[in-house]
Amino acid sequence: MSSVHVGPAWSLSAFPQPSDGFGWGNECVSPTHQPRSLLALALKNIDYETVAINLTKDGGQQFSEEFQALNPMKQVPALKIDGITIGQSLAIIEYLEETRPTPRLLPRDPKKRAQVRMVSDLIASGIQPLQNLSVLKQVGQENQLTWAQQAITSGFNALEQILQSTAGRYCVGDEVSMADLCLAPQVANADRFKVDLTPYPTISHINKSLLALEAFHVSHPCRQPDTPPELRA
Amino acid sequence: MQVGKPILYSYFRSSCSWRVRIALALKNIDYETVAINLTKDGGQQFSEEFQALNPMKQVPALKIDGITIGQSLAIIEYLEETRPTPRLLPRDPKKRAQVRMVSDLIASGIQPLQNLSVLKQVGQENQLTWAQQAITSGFNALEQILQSTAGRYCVGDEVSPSPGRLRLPLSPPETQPPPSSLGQVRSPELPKEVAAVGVGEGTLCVKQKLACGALLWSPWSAASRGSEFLIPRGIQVKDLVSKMQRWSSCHMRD
Repeated sequence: MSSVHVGPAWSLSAFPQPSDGFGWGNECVSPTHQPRSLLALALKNIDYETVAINLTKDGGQQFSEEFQALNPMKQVPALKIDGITIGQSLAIIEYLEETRPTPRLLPRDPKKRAQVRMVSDLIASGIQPLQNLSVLKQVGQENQLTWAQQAITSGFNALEQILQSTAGRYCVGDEVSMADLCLAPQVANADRFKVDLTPYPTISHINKSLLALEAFHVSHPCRQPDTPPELRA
Repeated sequence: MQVGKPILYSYFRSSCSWRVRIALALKNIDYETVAINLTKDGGQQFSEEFQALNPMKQVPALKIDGITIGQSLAIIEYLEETRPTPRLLPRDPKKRAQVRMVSDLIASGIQPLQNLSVLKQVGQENQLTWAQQAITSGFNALEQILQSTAGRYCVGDEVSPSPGRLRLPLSPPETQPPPSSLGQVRSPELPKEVAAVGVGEGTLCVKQKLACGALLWSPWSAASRGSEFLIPRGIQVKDLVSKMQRWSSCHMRD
């Protein structure tokens, strides 16, 4: 397997700090989009190297000139592969799917593929961007928790409804797909922002099935090269 | 409504809806429109009827082939897979990755941060600054990326689903009179206005309004570069006119 570079960002914590209600400030960001790419690489058994980009250290390493030259969006993930650099997690995943097609991350049937992409986009465009670090910085510290909860709750209300018609064991049918790669990290984020998941039994059930899989295990934020010691599993 | 035609739930000013309208037009797919007004009646996207169709309560949604798809890029990828010509994604996987990266940059990184529901939350006095910040920040990155990917369009020289680059340029005509191979009108007068329409495979064609008011349809040539577009192969002139008129009305608004 060819070796590729991936720059996930992982800063301090994806999990609620037990001691405080909602530790923000210097603390943590939750790059839920980054684990999507790691999940894809793990599922496809692609060997890769990690370059850690800490989103909060040094003012945010994503703002360094070096990283900005690599990915002008100043965001992670970015994947250096086959001589090119790709930003945007879903673009990365679709590229991996087209160049390393097994195991599949998208079904064969175009209608099911549409469902997978719809669920993926719902999360990747409709939820995550509204609660990422740069937006939360703008809404002000006192509003961040409410803002993030609102974004996630609103998105999960729709997602729960959609999944009730598309889901089998996983988001779309019984095979793991790109949609599942988006779901698990977003549920982790929901936990982080203390969103009550009781209204979302389908989401919860799928997430539980996913977390039992090896690929979701090895790529988990608590097991990364740059996971801080206190958060390491 | 005619049975069998796709139905697009759309709002005229929604940029996400426009992405899909462009894709449908580029692929010459005939469809019905159901307008969902995002501000009237408290927002028609919140009606029970629409929510049953698209739980995300957003436009666009496309009813096609017995299913309903939300999310503009998911819709466009479905159209690409089921109606593959003309292409909206290049063949080469690396170029496809670039197309998707640019599309996602806009569809995830910019638009959601300045859409109606978010602007409502930031408060009216902050809306303009907030939206400007989201767009400026995204465009700073996009400009840099496009400098390495762009040809005539976002990625190379073929139109692809990245929104925001499909505005038809109204360029001033060259001084050389255009050829008139369709033979409808011949005039030595210089065109006052060049309107470029029509996308597909095959012959490039431009529509020009002459000073005398007549319309001249002519194949694209170096003389009229700047308004170059493709028309579908084998299309008849009369069909071309009606398609171009529809295309024009979608795109000449601003």
